[in-house]
Amino acid sequence: MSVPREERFRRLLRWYPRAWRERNGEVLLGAMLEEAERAGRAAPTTAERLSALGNGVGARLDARLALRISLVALVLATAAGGLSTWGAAALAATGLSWSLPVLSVALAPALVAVGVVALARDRGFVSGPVAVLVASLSPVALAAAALAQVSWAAGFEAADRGVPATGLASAWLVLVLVAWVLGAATIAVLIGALLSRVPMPRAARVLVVALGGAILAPAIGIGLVVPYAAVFAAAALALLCVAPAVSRRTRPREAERDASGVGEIPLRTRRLARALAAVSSVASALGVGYALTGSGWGLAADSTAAMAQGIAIALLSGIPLLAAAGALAGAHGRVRSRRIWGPLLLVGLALGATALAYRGAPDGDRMAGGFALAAALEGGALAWWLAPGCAAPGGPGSRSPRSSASATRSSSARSSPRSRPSRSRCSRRRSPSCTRAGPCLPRRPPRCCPMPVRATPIGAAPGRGAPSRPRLVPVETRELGSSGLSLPVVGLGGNNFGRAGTRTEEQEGTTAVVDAALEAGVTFIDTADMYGKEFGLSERLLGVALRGRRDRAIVATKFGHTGIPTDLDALGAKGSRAYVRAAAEASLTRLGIETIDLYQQHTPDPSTPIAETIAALDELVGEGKIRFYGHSNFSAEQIAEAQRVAAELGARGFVSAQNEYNLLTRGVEAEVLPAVEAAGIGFLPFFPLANGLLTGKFTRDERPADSRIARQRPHLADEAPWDALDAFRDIAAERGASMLDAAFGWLLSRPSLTSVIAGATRPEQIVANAAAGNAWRPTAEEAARIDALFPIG
Amino acid sequence: MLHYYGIRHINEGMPSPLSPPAFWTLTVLATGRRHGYEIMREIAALSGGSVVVKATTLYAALDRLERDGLIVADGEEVVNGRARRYYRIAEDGTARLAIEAELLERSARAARSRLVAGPGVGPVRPAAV
Repeated sequence: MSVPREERFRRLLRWYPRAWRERNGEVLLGAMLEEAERAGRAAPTTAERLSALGNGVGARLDARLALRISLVALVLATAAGGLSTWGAAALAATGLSWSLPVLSVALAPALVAVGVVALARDRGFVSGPVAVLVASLSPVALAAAALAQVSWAAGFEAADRGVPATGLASAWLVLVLVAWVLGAATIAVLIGALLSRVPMPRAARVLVVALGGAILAPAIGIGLVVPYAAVFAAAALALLCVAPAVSRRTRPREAERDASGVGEIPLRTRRLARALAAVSSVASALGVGYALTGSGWGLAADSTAAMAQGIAIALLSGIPLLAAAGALAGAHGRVRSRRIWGPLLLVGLALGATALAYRGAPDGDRMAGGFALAAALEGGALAWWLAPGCAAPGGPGSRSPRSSASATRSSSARSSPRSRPSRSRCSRRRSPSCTRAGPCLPRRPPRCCPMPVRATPIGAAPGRGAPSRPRLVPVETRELGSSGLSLPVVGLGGNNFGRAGTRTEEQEGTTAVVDAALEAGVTFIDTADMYGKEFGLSERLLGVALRGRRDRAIVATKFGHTGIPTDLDALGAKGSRAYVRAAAEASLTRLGIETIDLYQQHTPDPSTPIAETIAALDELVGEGKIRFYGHSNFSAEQIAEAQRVAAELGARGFVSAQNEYNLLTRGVEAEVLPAVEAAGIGFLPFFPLANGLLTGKFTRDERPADSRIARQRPHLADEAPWDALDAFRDIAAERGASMLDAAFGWLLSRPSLTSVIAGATRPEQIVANAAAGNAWRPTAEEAARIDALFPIG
Repeated sequence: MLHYYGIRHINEGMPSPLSPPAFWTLTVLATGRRHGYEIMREIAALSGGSVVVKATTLYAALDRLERDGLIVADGEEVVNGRARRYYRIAEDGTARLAIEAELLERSARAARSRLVAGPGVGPVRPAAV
């Protein structure tokens, strides 16, 4: 493979805007790579490429871009309007008459369309890929519409001159159809996306989407024939961009925000704005109606006069909308009011001047004065708006309601020690603001709200940056199979908690060990319902030890050891649904936690079909009672069967296998480990230190008196292969490692091995285990020498 | 139908329905902090494989949920050379998910009651007395 996998995936990030990449690039890449590794893929799929393209380019389509685009479109459309009024003859004379429709039908509306989807994406109405699709389709559709208009006009010209239409002039029908189909498709995609979360019958959805596209596309196309249509579209978009999002999601907080006062939009203002906007819409609809039908019932003498009067009404009806925008922007109180009302007043006057100009319609010469005045006023407004030291209404310097709302939230949660600056408070960075870096704008922080990194990255010195609660660990972590659950390579076994005759028999000793474990980063603690001198004691002691800090540990436990009778046996066999569910509840109660991170079947249950056990465990995952499940003491065939059955059931299946494995007991290497690897699950060895024989505390002649081997299992030491153990100790010593280091290191060099779970009865053992987890890994040559010392089987 | 999810949502200040990736992300995070890849895997598991979210889609959803204050980033780490960022659900996120679940439940209840009633039952009329 010429290009490494990581590089192939990293290339997908290029679609994203730089700020997004800096914030999320590495973690997105990490997730994509983990997924690819799980699926065994070396390169992204086509779907992944497209998704990255859609989401990446989509992330660039935000409200700021929409505002910029709308302003450019406004200028272009105004120019097109001016040209159509004064320059049409000159354009025709120079053969440039095609430039007018290109400007007013294709370019300006295409910009508006891109701006509209950018704004819709920014406000969460459509996803990134949909926005990209619409933003790329709509310019093509509009280009076809413009071409159709040019072709239509050329056809007319040809007819005027009495010559047959050829070339472009004869293609108008095809072009209209192309524009219609493309436009309808674009609008259908947009409507479909907007309606995607509205529950409605499929047939109704298809009807609405198809009809909406088919009807709206020609309506827009015909509307754009009026050169000034694009001006209004661009102006409306610009207003939408700067009008604070009176977003639905912030509404439930109206009362709260009203109470908080400063910087928020009072309910009254918003109601006023809504009323003004409604007046505008009704008046403009009336104006359009009057323009079309006024000659029949209005004051107009003929249809031309009605058209002019109707257009004037529609223009003037925009004034309440301007007032609404001003009221909303002014309510923020962050922008000086004259900088809001000044430009808005000019825009209002421009509307008035245009309306007056229409008194002279259709005589272009009589209208020119009004248009000139309007253009000058609009130019003035734009200049005022954009001039250094000025801010767009609701834009720079003002807080978007989103950020305000979250600020309110944060302040109310300030008493909580967990509260931290959420990035949403910085959303002003992406709100329609900062159109330029003027002196009055708040300086954008170099990195908006840096991510609080509580975890210590691997390789970092422990305690560096001194997180108050070290969650991540100086101990290396590995993923358990392909589960996504990462475990420290050293875990703590709970089989000594509550065991008679140990220091961890009582709560005090157990808590001391758990303290040390969490401190050292040994955050994976594995127990079982049957551990302890009485059933459930180990879980109870661990539960108490974890009280108040449960989230610092990854808690694993086990159920259903077939060799141990329990109170729940009346419910059924140990792998049955009823038993599994009851056992999980009992363990959760004893541990005093809400979710078990890894729930393991302690031994296979030959009397229950594995499908039933898997279904029951999957149910528990669905209910949030356990996160993952694993098995223990399964044979290679049982592991393979469980995997196959889980796949048939569509269940996630077991994610881990726990079997005895150490240098002296290497039986699993023959069949179990290959089965584990084939199943793609993680392996957790128990008795990794062979009951302490591999800790280095024992020699041929010395046995610590307080050890379990000395007390209960002296035969283990008697029968141990001391020659091999001594040779192993020497191999480790060559590299300055202890026998304990080497025992951990050898296991951790095995495939599929995730975490070495070692018991401990004293805090110092934890410290030694944690250190051993990172200390030593055998070289290939050393591994071969060790393998030769200890026979498999 | 539009009345239910559209007009009423706006008038009563109800939030609009969550997108599927957002819904499932909040559902996964409801039980505790997770990193992105864990969320992806759990969504697939929880939904019985019917919803598969790509990493790119997930991170777009995470970005928006975080921006809306429904989830909070909660630490980063590097495992096997892969960067991971943990997220946890915010108070607003829990509330939002509860509302969503309630809405879905209402719809499901309505559907189920009709299924139980079976065909032949006429339109529901307001009680006359």
